[in-house]
Amino acid sequence: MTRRGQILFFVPALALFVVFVLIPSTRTLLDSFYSYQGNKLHFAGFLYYRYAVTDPKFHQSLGNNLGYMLWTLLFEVVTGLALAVGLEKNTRFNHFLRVAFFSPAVLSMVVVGLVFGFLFKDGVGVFPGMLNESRALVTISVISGWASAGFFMVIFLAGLANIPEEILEAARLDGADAWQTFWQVKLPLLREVLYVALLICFTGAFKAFDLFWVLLPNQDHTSIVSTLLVKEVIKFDNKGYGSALAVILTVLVLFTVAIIIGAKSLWLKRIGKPA
Amino acid sequence: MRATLKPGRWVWAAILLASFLLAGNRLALPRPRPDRLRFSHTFTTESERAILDAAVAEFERTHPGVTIEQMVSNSEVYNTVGWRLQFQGRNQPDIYFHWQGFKVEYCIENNWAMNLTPYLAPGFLETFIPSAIRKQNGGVYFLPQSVDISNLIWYNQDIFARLNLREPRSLEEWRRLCVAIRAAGVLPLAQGNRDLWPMGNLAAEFLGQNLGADPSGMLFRPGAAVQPEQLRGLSTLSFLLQNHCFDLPGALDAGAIGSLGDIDAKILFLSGKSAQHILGSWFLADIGDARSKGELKFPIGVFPVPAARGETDAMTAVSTGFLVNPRTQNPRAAIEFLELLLSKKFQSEFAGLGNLSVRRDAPEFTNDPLAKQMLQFLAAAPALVPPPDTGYRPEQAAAFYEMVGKLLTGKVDLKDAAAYWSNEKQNLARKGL
Amino acid sequence: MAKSAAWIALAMLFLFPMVWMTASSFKSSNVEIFSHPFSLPHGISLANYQKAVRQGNMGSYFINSLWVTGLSAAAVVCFGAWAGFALSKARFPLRKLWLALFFVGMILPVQSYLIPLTRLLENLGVHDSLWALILPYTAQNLPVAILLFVAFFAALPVELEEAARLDGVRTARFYFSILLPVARPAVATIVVITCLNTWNEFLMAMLFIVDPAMKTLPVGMIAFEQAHNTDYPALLAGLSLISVPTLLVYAIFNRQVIRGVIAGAVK
Repeated sequence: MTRRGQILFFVPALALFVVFVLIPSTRTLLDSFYSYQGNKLHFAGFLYYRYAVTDPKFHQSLGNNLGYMLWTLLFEVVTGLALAVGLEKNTRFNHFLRVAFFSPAVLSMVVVGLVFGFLFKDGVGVFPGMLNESRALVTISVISGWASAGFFMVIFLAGLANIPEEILEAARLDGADAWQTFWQVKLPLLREVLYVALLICFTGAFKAFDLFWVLLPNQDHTSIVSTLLVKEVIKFDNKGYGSALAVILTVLVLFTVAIIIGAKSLWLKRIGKPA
Repeated sequence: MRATLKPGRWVWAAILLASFLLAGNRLALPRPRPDRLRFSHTFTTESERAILDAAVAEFERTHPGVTIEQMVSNSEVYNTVGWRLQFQGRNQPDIYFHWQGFKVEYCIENNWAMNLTPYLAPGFLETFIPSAIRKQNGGVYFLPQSVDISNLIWYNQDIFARLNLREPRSLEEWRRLCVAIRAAGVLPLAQGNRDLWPMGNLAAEFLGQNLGADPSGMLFRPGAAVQPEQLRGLSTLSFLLQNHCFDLPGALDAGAIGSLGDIDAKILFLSGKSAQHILGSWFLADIGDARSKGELKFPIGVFPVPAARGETDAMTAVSTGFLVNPRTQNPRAAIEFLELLLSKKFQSEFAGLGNLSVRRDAPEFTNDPLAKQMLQFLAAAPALVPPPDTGYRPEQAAAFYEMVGKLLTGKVDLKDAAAYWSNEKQNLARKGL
Repeated sequence: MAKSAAWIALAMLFLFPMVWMTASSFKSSNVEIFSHPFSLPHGISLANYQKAVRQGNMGSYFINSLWVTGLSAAAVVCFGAWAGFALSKARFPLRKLWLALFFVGMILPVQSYLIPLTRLLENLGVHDSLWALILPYTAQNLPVAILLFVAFFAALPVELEEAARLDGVRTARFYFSILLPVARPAVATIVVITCLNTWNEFLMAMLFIVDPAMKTLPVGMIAFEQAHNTDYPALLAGLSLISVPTLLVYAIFNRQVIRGVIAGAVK
């Protein structure tokens, strides 16, 4: 393929990506150092970062994010894994169940939010009071779990299907029961898939927005960093602080990904495989 | 080797072409046009929409070639984010609704509003009561449609009759009345403070009554710390909370006031589950709607928030009206439409829905006893206090609203409320506000 | 036997909210919905659905969503396959850099570039039109598509290209008549992923489009909820209406969707 052909093929995609994703990302970084006074720009330095460090609302949002991350780990990943293991066999019955469990994942989070908003409404709903202060975060995590467990189930099913039959046969001949087979044979072989699942779950926890915005728009106690950010920008017209929050959010996401990838390559080194 | 186009590809091409022809206009870029005026507002009830549609129809009849396109938003969303978002891009509204106060000043500063004086018909401004027209920036930018009273106590007259209660004359009497209702096993107040402004506005009225209009306004300015004595007016809220006037097992759980939406609270009251409901003068439109659908089963009365003995009877009220975007391509038509909408003909119809017009001839507009009562309240109120979400900077207002929200869900005690509010204000100051 | 019963019960629990949503949409008033939540509706009337479509402008939102999703998916496949093909050749300059860049772009949260994107779209003059969504959606879904196409094309035998070159086929013709048909599974996967992402996207659709006539389905649903907030049956009818297409597509294209999910995840 000629060099010119190569570049011609590559440039349009690159151009779109750079213009609509990369450049705005760097602009956000720059924006976070400026404040708008009226219509004029003032250089504010690290004002907004210093503010974020001491802002109790930001601490609460960050805490909620981390809590949400852990709860969804349970309700999405662990549940998905349990479902996958339970439905491993390729029977028709299992196939039907798999379709049923995955179906909520294709729904818009707006729909999910509105429907559960009704079900949990105070005073008139079917299960009132589930969205009250103390329970709100867990309830939202359960709703997320309902919507996404099927997604993780599918991923784990694919991973389980990749386990060679001989290994399972060997385990059976050794007299291992289902429980032992799971913990000592299947789980270790699912490591790759587990890393992917962790990656998606954790980055998803930071990126989550729709469900929180639709279900609990004005509640501070369940705000997460992404909703706090959007509120700052469109409600209070504070682009500087919003941009600073966006930068912090991005750093957190990249950091999480780096940790997971680092852990994976560390593990691979430990057991002697090439990364 | 020549690649041949199979018939399947022709089918796809035909489908694509057809879709472009039928619906491709949606892909066109927005462009402002002089023959189409966009009118952005928050009148969502059916009765209000009917009046607006009639006004638009009449305008289009007398102005052939010009159409008016209505952009309706929910007032909650519009008040918080919609009013700013609509000015992004090229498809901005030509005429838009707004609450007088901080937001109108912001619009003028940002060049989203234009001076209307050159285009107004002579004598038009004199049809309004003088206090309703404000000269801002040397011109008139805002044409007032009405005044909204922010807090009125609407009550179920059947329940009051059954419990032998009458409209209270003082704040103390009202407190006793609420406790009596609760003792009789009825929910005294159905309030939904999920969005923080319903009870926040009530709290602002208590503050205004206790301190006076100007001193209470000072509390919302950046910088000044808040002293506990200044929040004495909020003691009524604590009193009601402690006496379980906002909750009743079976109807509404304790603490639910923090997560119930204002719409749901409205529905609770209209279905007879509570004795009273505190909401603004615009509730009359909802009552009218419910009545016309046959869903209202009891007569409703109303009285203003009573003042305690020795306090000024302040009233939280905000003027609402319309502005015109300087980017409009047809300012003359825009203003002529507003003059039509604000004329006696349509304002008297709005008055029938409880709208409190600020025209000089407003008192003749309505025979509805509730609407007449509200006009009397307005005329009798010695002081008008703006509600925080339109009168002051949004972040200062938000700090106050959050404090009230926490007060009502038991997170903050009354004695700590002042310190909490001062702390929040300090926080905002560090942010550069 | 008890195990199967337990599984069925669990599946029922999962499906309950959607079933409740549709069943309630046939009920005639708020009172009926909330006082008898688990009962079947008294009568099946389509009144709520009519209300949702007419007053709620569902048809308009649906068409808008179709345009946005369709054009975004087409653009992503088109540009993504080109770039993926170019990048799959080991001799491409700075190849590792580009791949790393696209990986970062894939995990970046939307909020990282949301605010300047608003300004950019305004400056380009496309704000409040469907292009304000099509362009960013395409840009956001390109990284996943490119990475998937690179993996796919790299696995293709080199003989294919060499044989074509020996036959004298020029690159472009080779691309269209030989490569694309071979890449059909990858294309299907990309289409599924992109469609799922863009059809349900909410945040940008809410911020970039204010004109009611141009709104997409998720935003339209929220607008409907706010405007008719006391009419729960109609709202539920609207929600059912917009969920049915996605559920139907899922039911029909079950296998492709699953494959798309796995492929996206593994990369």
